[in-house]
Amino acid sequence: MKNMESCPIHLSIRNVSKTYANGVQALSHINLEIPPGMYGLLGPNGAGKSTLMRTLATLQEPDAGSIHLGDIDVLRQKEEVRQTLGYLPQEFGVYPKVSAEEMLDYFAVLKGITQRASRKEVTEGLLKQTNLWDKRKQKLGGFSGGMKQRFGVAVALLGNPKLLIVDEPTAGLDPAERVRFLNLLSEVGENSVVLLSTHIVEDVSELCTNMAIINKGQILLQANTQEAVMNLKGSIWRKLTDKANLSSLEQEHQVISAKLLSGRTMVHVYSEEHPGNGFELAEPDLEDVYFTAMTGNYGQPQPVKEEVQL
Amino acid sequence: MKFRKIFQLEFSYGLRSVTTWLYFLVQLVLSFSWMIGNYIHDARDGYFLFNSPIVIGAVTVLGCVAWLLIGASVAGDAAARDVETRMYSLTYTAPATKAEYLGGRFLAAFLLNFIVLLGIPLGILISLYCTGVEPEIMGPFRLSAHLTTFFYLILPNAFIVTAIQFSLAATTRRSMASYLAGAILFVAAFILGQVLQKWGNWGNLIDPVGFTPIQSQLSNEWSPLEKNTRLLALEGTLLLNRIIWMGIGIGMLALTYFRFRFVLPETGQKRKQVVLSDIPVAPLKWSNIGTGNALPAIRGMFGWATHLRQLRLLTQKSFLQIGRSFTGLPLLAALALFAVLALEGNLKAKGVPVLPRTDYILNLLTAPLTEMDFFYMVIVLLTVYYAGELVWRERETGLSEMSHVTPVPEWVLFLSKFLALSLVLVGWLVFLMTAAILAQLSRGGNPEIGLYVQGFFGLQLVDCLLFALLALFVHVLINQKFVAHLVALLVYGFILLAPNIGIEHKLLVYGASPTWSFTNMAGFGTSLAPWIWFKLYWVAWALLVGVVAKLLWVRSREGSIRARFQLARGRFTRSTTLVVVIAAGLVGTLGSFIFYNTNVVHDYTSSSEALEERAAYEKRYRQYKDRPQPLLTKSKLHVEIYPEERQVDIKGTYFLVNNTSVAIDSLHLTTTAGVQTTKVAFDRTAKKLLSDEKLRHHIYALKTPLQPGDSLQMRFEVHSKAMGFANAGADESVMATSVNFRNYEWLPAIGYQDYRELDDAGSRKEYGLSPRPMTASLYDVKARLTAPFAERVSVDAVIGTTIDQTVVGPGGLHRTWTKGNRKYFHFVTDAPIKNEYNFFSARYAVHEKQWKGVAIQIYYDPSQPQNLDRMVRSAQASLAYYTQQFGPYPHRQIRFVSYPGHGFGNHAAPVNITAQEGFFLLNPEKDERGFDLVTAVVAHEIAHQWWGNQVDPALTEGSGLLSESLAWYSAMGVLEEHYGPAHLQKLLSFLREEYETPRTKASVPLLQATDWYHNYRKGPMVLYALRQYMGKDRVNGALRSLLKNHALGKPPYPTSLDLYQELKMATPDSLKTLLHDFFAANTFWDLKTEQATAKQTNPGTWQVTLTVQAKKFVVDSIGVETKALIKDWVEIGVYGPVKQGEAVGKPLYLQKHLITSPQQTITVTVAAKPDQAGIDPNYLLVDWELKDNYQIIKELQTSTSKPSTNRAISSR
Repeated sequence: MKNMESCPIHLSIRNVSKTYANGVQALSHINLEIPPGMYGLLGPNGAGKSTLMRTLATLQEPDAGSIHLGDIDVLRQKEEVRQTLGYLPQEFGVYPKVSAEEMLDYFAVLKGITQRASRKEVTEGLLKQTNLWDKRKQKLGGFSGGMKQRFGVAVALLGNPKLLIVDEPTAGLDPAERVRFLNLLSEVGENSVVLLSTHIVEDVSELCTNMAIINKGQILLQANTQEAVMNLKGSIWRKLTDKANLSSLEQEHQVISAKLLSGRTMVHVYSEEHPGNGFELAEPDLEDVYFTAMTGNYGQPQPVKEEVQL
Repeated sequence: MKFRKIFQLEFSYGLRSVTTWLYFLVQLVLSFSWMIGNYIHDARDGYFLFNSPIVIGAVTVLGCVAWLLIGASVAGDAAARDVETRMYSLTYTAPATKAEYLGGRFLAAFLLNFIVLLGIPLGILISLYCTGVEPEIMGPFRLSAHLTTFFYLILPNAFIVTAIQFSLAATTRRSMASYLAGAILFVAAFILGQVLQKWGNWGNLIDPVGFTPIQSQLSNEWSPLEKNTRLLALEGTLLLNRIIWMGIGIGMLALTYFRFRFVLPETGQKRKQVVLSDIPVAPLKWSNIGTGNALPAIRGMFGWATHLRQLRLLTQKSFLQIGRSFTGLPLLAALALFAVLALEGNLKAKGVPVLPRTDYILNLLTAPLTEMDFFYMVIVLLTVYYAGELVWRERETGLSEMSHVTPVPEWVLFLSKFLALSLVLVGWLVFLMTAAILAQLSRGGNPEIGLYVQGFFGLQLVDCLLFALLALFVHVLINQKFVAHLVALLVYGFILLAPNIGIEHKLLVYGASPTWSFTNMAGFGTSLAPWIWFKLYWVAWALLVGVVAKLLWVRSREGSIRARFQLARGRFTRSTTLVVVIAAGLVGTLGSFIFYNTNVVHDYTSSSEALEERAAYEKRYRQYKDRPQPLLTKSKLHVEIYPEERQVDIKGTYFLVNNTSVAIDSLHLTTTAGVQTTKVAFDRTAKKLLSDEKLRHHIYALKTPLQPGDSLQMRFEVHSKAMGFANAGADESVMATSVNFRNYEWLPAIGYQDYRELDDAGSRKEYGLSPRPMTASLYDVKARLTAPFAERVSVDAVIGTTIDQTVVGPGGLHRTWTKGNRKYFHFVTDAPIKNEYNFFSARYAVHEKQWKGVAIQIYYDPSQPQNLDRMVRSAQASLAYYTQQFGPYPHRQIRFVSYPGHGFGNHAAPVNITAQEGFFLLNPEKDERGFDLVTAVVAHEIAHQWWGNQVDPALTEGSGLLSESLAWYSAMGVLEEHYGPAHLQKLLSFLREEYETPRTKASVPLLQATDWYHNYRKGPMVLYALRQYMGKDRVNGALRSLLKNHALGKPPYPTSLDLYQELKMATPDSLKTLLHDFFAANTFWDLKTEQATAKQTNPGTWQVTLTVQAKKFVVDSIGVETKALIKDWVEIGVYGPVKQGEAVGKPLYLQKHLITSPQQTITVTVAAKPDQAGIDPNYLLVDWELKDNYQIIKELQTSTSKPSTNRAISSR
């Protein structure tokens, strides 16, 4: 038993690589320093987010590299990691015939909370926090997607984890649930490392102090969220144009995104100076950061070039 | 088009799947090994041709039965994969009709299963034509043999079984349901089919794959000729079976079609109680945001205490998961109930109820892992299923990613599953024990709870748990549910069949051990210690298996072997190392200790080595078989028995006489295995010429040859000390509570010993011995010179044992005395006996009565006094009847001696008749047939004192006629004379029960028969018939004469021909044909009353007219039937109405008529109103079909008869 109560801890990932048996390289030399607080991991589907998350959650083994949570070697001291880990997988099932309270109580024991009184306190607190208290006697089989997700959060939060890993948590939530859920996470983030993987840019922009963008197993960008947006100031230009012009624009400019807007197309391009041609300066947001990074124009330029279609 | 696409996708998916080909391979290998490992031996022994249609059929149905258990995933997958992979939201919404969707899926599953089953014919063909089988055991290649099997068995079976499995899986949307279907069909085929055989054709019909009809045809219904040549034909019950089951299959498919709906499983029928609308989504509240302290800050505690609590919780949850489901405790409870209901049949011996004693019931309800016992086989299958569910539950529900990251060590996870499974198995045994106790109480028994607890929870549970651990291990190791099921079944198959494939040493078969036994008389005897040693050894292995399972426990997504081993290395903690070292150390030391016992203290000989040794003995020493040897005439023995030490010391002297006409210069001595024979010395100078310790043959040269008529004394000592235990368990002849051994098992014998030769043709050929018939031919004159242990000897034996035990030895007890803390018994034979006798020592109670100077003694266990009076009474009646009918009883005592065991059989050695405890538990009073088997068996055994012990037949064909048939025939006389004709009728109908068992008519004539049916049933029945035809005095006179000629037991020994000769002399000419038909030909009659009518002719006179059919035919040994001309005297009987409680009415007429044509009308006149009439009403002639002999008489009310009645009244 280690004493990890006091000082906030860092999660450091060094040079982690993973190639699946079918030849897909899921992670390639990943290096990340994750401080306490909310940390967003942004990337498209299939970028390697879940592989990284599962590796951090002791469910998968990397081929190379090392991961440390404070002074715990995540790859070797799995037991110690699990003692302080909360994990909400992207997809999970439940026993349909068991009530939420009973199931949570079960997980409490698994998480080492064996005293009856503490278990009661913990489950009650978490069920209230996740707004499931009224439904605690209901069978999990009858839960809606959002309720199930909230139940997963309750499980992940059991035992006051120092490392909380949530994989695509907001995917199935309605807007209100999502907001509430993110609030809950930031509360946890006050004392722990909370790693939030998502492909929804807003999730990160609203909450995460730090973030990384990952694609095809590689980190494209690792930065403070605010700074990342600031850095783009003056480099993002926009123009409302016809769909027909899109391909010619793409020839001339670094188009980072194109969105249909009431019949016409809003094009964002990246450019250090004024691209002319009717472009106007746009106030950059995290989405621009994301797309810039994905198109290889931001920060540590990567050889990856991808067509982003929206 | 859609149908084709759906079919194609499913079919090619199956073809690409490894499991399909794995199943195919398993089928191929199984059928190949059945052919090569099993049927080829029978073919070599001459039972049938190796490629005969019935063999092909038998292997095919065996394969089909095995496939029921292992191949269910094909159909289950096709039916339920969409739901289980959650593809249904795409496939169900696609615009395909139900018929296209289900039809395509089913057709694909059917074809895939069909491909799997093609492994069977392929395996058979390979075994027949690619292994160089010797041409002598092969018939010509017949395509039709393979095609009939293919079209009548494989194709319909594939359809029927796939249809049922598919339907169940499709309607329940669970692929596991197809396994359930497979298991039910397996029970129907393998168990119910066999059980229901007794009730005629039901067994053949209930069997979905045709296993029952084919196997029973192979085992006894078909004649050898039919076995070699007859093709399977789609007729009779097989046709009906195919039609019924095809109907069931089609019906199930139709039902599935109508019940199946393209709806999501969650909204399907049963789960309606949890539809979403019932549960309003919890509303959001914003009020408690940002309070910071709202999150509970309690952290987990980690350490041993926590782990133990986690273990408890996980065990409890897993137990409830398995236990609460329908296939869990409810099914086990039902199974226990079923097991106890089956006791009804098992608590009977030959139809006689057995007293419900605890040890007997315990023996019936327990079985070692290595034994094929129906209920424990089902338990093993369930254990495998439960193990799969336990290991896979979290992953299947999708909870695994959350639960796998919880801080619970692997050992807790694995152990909790094991403990849960253990609790379920404990539950099974609790149910079984409770049901057994209730059943015992309801039968008036007295349950010994302590013994039950010991047997079920001390012994049986260990076997159950050892396998449970193995099943869990397989599921962890394989990490693919269905493949793991298959592997677990194969492992179980190996455990069951290891000895058949030559792996006999129990150190090599997981969980194997010598069996334990408990009887009231001996307790556990010596059986418990070896059992415990072996089990400790396997528990140590189980510990290692558990550790490996812990190391390889899957809790991540890493499935590759390399990654799992890497993980395992990481999990190899210090405590793991400690456990491994301890377990390995235990395996090593316990294994060495066991090996020391089985292979060093005892000679470990595998069965093939034993065969080899017997062959070597014959090859080397048969040359001395006809060498003149002196004859043993007297044995003087001093036997010291030390039951506690399991030790016996014997000092003996043989008195040998040269009764040949030549001088004997050398003496051949055979010693026995397992004892030390020392200090062999002669009263004249002799030199040891040869001492072959391995084959135990010794030759001594006499310095001066033994002249004809001279005698010789040989002294020897035999020392027997049972040490430890062998692979088969500990020797049970000398135990603390009971001692029982025979002279020839330990004492040396003179000359070459025929009985050590190999008998069956296959082994003789394999070990290079010249072919000879299994039993010497009846016409082999030389064979009449030998009979086993036939020399008549006087025995004088002083036997010492512990002070609290009683000894039974050969002959009369002259004196007993006590010396120190030992008790001595001096037994001397009054008259020479066959050289076959036992020594017993136990705490016997003795029940003694007299009959004219003959002491009748029963040495029994004090807890089994139920039948003593009954036995004594029968013994008295028997002695009276036999001495009067046949000749004097040569001894002054006759004994029944009990020894430990649950069997019912008796063995009649001279003076001492031995019986296992089971015989003393028979309860004839409760017999529904009102038949007293105990009395009858006692009469039979005592008859052996004449037939077997005085008339001692030569070891040739037909020898059973002189012992067993005559013994039953004699017993009939006892019952008739001393118990009344009704008792005799009960015995006759008991013997005739055997006619209902289906068997082939093909046989050699009774004179040459060697099988049980002819010796114990047909023999006595025809002797009885003969007696009814020509009178008791003539038959018994013939037997008297036979006894007179052979009672002294001198070679040449009598054969059935001698009996036949005596009977011939006693038979009047008119019955000579009948005598020939009974004994010298295998003759059958087919007698039938077609119609019987009656007409009252006069007051008090009825004219009865019978139309009877009578056929006669002879069947030879391979089954060819030849019609015979009928010209026989056959009884015609007319009977009055049956009164309540009687089987037949009052006989009004019974006369023999000469029947000369196949159809005949017979008219007789009787003096009272008749009710029934029949031909051969007493079933004297050999006709297995009894029912059609009789007919109820139809009364003819003719117009002419009425006035005559009126007249009769008016004239009165």
